[in-house]
Parts: sequence; structure tokens; C-alpha cells
Amino acid sequence: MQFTIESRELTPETVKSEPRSTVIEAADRDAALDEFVRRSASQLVSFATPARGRESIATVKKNDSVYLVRVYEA
Amino acid sequence: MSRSDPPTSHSSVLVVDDDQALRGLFTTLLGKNGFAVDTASDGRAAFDQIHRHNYSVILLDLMMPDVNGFELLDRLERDSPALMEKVIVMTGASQRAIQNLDTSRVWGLIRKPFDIENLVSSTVACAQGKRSH
Repeated sequence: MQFTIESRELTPETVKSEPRSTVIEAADRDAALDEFVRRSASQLVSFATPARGRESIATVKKNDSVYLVRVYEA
Repeated sequence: MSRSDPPTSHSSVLVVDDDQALRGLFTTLLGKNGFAVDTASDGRAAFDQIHRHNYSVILLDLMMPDVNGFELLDRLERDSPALMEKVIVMTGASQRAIQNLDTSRVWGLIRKPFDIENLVSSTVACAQGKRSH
């Protein structure tokens, strides 16, 4: 299955900048997120368990920045 | 030290973490859920703030430079044992690294990466004085 991964940098005040999207082939959303973390050399910080059929939300950290990540079927 | 929006339905939280980006994330997450959030970057700064403010919850990272989370817990247990019930330990450390941590001394333990709903619900429960054990 193909999943779209959308990431935006988070600051304490707001969500900053335009989202960056990438498509990843994976068995499920968790695997897609794992692959995104691996490819981007980032670190998973938090996640939200989605209702069935909804997008997954997570935050990842890379260097000194935290990114809000949305994962949904492409 | 920084403080987010003033307290509304809940109470105040002290986030103790040496990672600036994570302090910002916790401030955002908990601030959106009605908490006033203060932050400290190490155990020494946290200890000072704890004695100046009456926090409902202390979210504590363990691995920090200078006075780390283990040392802060020891100080709190010695000087202010009642505050131990307000501490939620947040850690990404291995099980081996925290094998000597007695979680019955604190309100609870949350592993990183954490479930956002679990973090918020645990913080609310701790602030309300509900027991986790």
C-alpha cells in the first residue's frame, strides 16, 4: 500500500512553514511511519492512535526541531 | 523559565527536560489542554522552581546534564516527599538504565515515544490527585 507522509515544523506558538510530502510504500501506517523516521534520520517522539480509517498523527524530532507528521493512505 | 497561557480548567505543570525542542512540544500539547506550563532544563533549575510555585504535576525527564532526574527525585524524597506523588517520569532510557527506579515512589512512568492521549490523560489524572497505582 502507498501512504502519504506530510510533515511540518512545530514551534511552541504555531505550525510553521508549508508541509513537505512524500509517498512511502509500506504494509500499514505504522510501517510507513517507521520508514519515514528511518529515511529522515529523525526520532519518533509521540504518536496518537487514530480511529479506524483516520490519519495517524505523530511528532518526530530531528536536530533541534520537532515536526508534526500526518500519515494517510495515498 | 517560561510560562504559557494562564491556567484555565486544570492546573500548572512543570516540564523538566534538557531538550529545548521537547520542552516546546510539551508546552504546546499541555497548553492546548488547559494547563499553565513552566519549563526547566535541568534538575537544579527545577528544584528552585518547585519551591517557588505550587505545581500540580511535574513531568520529569531522567537523563539530563548537571542535576539529572534521578538526583532530583532523591532531593524531593528527602526534602519534600509529598511532591513525589505529583511526579510523572518521562523517559526514553532503556529498561536497564531505569532498573533501579522505584516507580511506586512517583505518580507514574511514561516511556518515550509516548502516546499523546496517554500523556494528557495521565497529566489530568495526576493534577486531580487520582492514583495511578
